[in-house]
Amino acid sequence: MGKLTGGQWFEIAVWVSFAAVAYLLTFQFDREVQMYRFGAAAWPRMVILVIMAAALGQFVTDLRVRKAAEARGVELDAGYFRKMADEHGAPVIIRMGITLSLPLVYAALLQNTGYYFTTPFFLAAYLYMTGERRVKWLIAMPLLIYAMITVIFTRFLFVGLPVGYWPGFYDFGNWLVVLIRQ
Amino acid sequence: MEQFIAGTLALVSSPLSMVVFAAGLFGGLLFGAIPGINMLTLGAIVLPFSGMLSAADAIMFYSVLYCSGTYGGAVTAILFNIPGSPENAPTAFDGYPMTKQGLAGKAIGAAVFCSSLGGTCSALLMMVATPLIADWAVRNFSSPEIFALVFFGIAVASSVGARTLWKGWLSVGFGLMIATIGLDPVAGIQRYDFGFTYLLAGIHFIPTILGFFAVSEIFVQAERRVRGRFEMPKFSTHFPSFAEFWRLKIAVVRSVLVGFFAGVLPGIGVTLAAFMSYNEAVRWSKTPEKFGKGHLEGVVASETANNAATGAAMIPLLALGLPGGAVTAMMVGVFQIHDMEPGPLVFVTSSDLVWVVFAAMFFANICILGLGYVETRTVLHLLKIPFQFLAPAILLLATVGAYAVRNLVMDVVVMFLAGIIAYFMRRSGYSVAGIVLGLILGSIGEENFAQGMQMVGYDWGDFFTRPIVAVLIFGGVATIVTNIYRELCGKRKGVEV
Repeated sequence: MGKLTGGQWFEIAVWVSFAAVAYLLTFQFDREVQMYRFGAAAWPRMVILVIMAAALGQFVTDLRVRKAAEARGVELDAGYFRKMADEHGAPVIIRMGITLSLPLVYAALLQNTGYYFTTPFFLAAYLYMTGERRVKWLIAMPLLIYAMITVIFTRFLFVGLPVGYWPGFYDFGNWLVVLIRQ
Repeated sequence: MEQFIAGTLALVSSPLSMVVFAAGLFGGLLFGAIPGINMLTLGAIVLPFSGMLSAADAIMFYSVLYCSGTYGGAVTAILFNIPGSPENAPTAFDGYPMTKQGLAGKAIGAAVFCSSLGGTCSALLMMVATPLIADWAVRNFSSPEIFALVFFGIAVASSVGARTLWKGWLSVGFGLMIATIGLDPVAGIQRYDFGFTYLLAGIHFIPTILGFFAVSEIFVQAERRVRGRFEMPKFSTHFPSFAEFWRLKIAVVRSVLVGFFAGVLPGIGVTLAAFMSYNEAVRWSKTPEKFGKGHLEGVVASETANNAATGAAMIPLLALGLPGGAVTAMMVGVFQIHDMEPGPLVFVTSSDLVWVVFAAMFFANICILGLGYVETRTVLHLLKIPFQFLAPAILLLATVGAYAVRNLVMDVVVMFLAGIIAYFMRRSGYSVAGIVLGLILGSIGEENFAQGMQMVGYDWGDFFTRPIVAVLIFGGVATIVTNIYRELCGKRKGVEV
């Protein structure tokens, strides 16, 4: 891994890969435009150049900092996430992973199961992941938050929220909307 | 003067406008004072629904939110070392040590007074300067000048807010790349759509802003809870005396001037204003070693400047159509929602809107003086709301806000993805504000560059020798070179939020 940490190499690799892929994709739309000499690809390519230059700058800076630290015999930061893993271990990392991915799962389900059915469960799950363990609060708070926000936006602001496509969920969503708007 | 009176009368004569004014004022104070969220969270949540208000009321809401939220972010900076916004970061340098010494009330009291004073002076200067600049801009600014201004703004924005200069550039570059998704502004050629119809219209800025600011902040605070590092400190409510303020009068005046002139810069002027003012306070102080250890002057310098910059940040927005920071970037969105183009013509087509906004900002800064003291005492009760109850509520509000834009579930997915990306980037030392500014300025920059080159017949000499273009490009290049030099010599002190 050389003088850099795994995290630093990963960061550089991400930016270089991002820039490389973005550059390769510019050939898909790099065609002549009659009214504009530089075409549609010029601006993205210029931005990619900036990103590559900055990534190179960051790489050089990381190397210099490491070298200076080694010369002084000072131990440098292992990186934020490495420190978190070393300090807290796998359970915290897993819990953070779930905390971050839970909203995405909720968003992915919204289309099919609908906002009206899925939301209370998402709120309870998120409440649990952020530390609440009392069963009463795990049931009451999500219902209270869900009820308040849903009534405000459905009844008073007439914001249309997804009712879901799957059978059963669609019927439940529509039934609740009619009930709230009565 | 007559226009200011007309704007005031328009504000007070409409009950709805007064309600919107109060909502912006209290919303900024409240959201700024609760750790884990800030005025940007509220601004992002309200953005999709701003179309329900008139253009004047919507812009007025954000301008008042800007004033009160900039002060409100100082409360969490002082109490919890969690700056509400990047411009509150220097406040934490001395504010938090003061809290640890049991002097939180003194720090907050200084923040209240200085924020009010800086903001009021800025509002007055803004009322005088903006129409003049707008008038000048109409006659002297066209596409090449706007591109040059965007370049200058990006050059400045990239240097503040991230842990290193390179990460600042990477943040802005990432935002610029997101802005290229969709149809190119010249010929409408599809770029980076991967065959998805959703991407043809580009990534909508509302879900992105919600994700980058509100959702990522929830994730950051959730991580603190998961790691067991979220603590509520105790604090007193003894405020500073007039004598203490009088001793710092020179620092206050200097901070107003630094804040105002730095805040005019499009890009990230408000954050730069706070850092520059703090640095100047250290430089001019007879006891620089006291800074960073709980020195009242540090809080005064930062808070005066960042509120002085709020009025100044409205100048590039209203006079030139360019955002001066994250909140003004949202205001660009509000203009677009109302089918308006921010820029010098706003003074011609909607001067009543402009003067309502000016009057509202002036009175908002005056109100901060009184409400700030009251709010400090009452915020104690609000701080008792456990974070685990706030987080789901904010996520749900953000979900509804993102979905309501275009009734697309994909917007909600994009929002959460943006939140996850922003969480990792923030924890790795990148600047979320830089990403958003790259996103907003990217499309403006590309469009004006293309139009500018067509105007001058692709003659680079003609393009870069236009006086205003030359000055701005030179300023941007000088900023970049200076920053690179400082970075290589290890003289730059980056602070990420």
